[in-house]
Amino acid sequence: MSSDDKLISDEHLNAFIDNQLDADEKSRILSTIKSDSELSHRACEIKRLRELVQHAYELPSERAEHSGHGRALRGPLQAVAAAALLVVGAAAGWISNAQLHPGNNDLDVKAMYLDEERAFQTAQVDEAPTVQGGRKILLHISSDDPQKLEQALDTTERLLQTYRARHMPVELELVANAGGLNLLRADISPFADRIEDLQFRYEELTFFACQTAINQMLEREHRDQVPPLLPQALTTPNALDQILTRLQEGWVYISV
Amino acid sequence: MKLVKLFGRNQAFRQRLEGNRERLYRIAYSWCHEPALADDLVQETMEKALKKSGQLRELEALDTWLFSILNNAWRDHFRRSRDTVDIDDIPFVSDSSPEDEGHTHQVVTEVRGAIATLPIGQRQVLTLVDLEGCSYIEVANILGVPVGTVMSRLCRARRALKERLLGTDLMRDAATDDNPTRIRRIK
Repeated sequence: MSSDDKLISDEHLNAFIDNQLDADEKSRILSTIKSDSELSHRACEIKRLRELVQHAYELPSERAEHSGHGRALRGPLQAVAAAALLVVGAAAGWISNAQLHPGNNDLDVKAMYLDEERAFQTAQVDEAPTVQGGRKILLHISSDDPQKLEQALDTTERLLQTYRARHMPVELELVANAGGLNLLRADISPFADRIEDLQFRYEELTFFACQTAINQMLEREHRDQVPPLLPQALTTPNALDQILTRLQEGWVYISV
Repeated sequence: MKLVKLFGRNQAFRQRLEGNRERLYRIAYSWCHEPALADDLVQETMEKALKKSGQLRELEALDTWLFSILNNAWRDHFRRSRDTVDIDDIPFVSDSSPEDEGHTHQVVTEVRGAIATLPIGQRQVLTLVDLEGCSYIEVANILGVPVGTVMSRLCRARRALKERLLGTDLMRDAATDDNPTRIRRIK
């Protein structure tokens, strides 16, 4: 712990993270944080804890409207169960009817979303609720099957193309974890050129690689070095976390 | 002032109250972890708010005012059940613990379980700040305690949560020690 670090109490650091300090205090802590990795670490932990608290009550605490006691139970339990389904689903490829069905209809894709009561629903992507008139989609790939990787890009392109043609605002995030990381690895991705092309044509598209999955891969394969990612790929701390966050923000979720 | 009087007990005020029901429920639930009790507390809060609508001087203060009423309702609940104990000292654990609601969803259950072990005063401060984004001054007004108390309770609450949660898979998953940068890069 450095001397500057000691000067900043936990109370102050909490207040800093909660944006409760005046400008002078804020900039003092900010400049110390930049040069002090331990303080930065403490700050990140507080921020992380805050996110966890928000996450813990965001989904399950919704109540049923006009509730009696029985109905009051419904919201929390249903949401917990539904969230659990997502956890299982994210690992196992979720359920069969969430698979992609490329067909004649460009938007013939099953997606899931959270309804007003924060319960999970499935629908054709086009029928799911929009966010302020725009379509926000999180597409999740966890398989290293080259066919599925290609399918993810096909679907991405089809969705972006279709909504653009309709002049409907669209934002799409393609999040890769587990085997899906192969899609974004510069050393082995079979689709590097295509990803570059897609990114060039659609600025509303973002690629994310899951940092947790990368760390697990390093451990599993006893590597020291993180394999290079494609320049288009950003990292997200945790794919599942991002999926849940996005769902809560009104995005629709598509599992490849 | 005029505006508030106009609102009074009329339909617009009711609608505004109704619009806050979900938020009140969320906070009440995070305090007691009992859906039925949370529902009762919210109902009591709404009824009191309607009755006392004339007391609300500034409409902008509605949120803080509602949370104060909720806090009073919550304290009353404790007074009814435990006359002589200061609720700030009670490490409250509800009968239906969050863990009982399902072991399957790790993040939610673990975090809620950790929060359920906090003394109620700390839990109230933590949830008002983290869930509702209340400023420290607002929390101090809602709970009727000095700002310094808010800060120290919040600090202790987060320390306890850190101790309880840092060793779990959940925190390891979210960010490993090899990767200390834990602030999200996503928007």
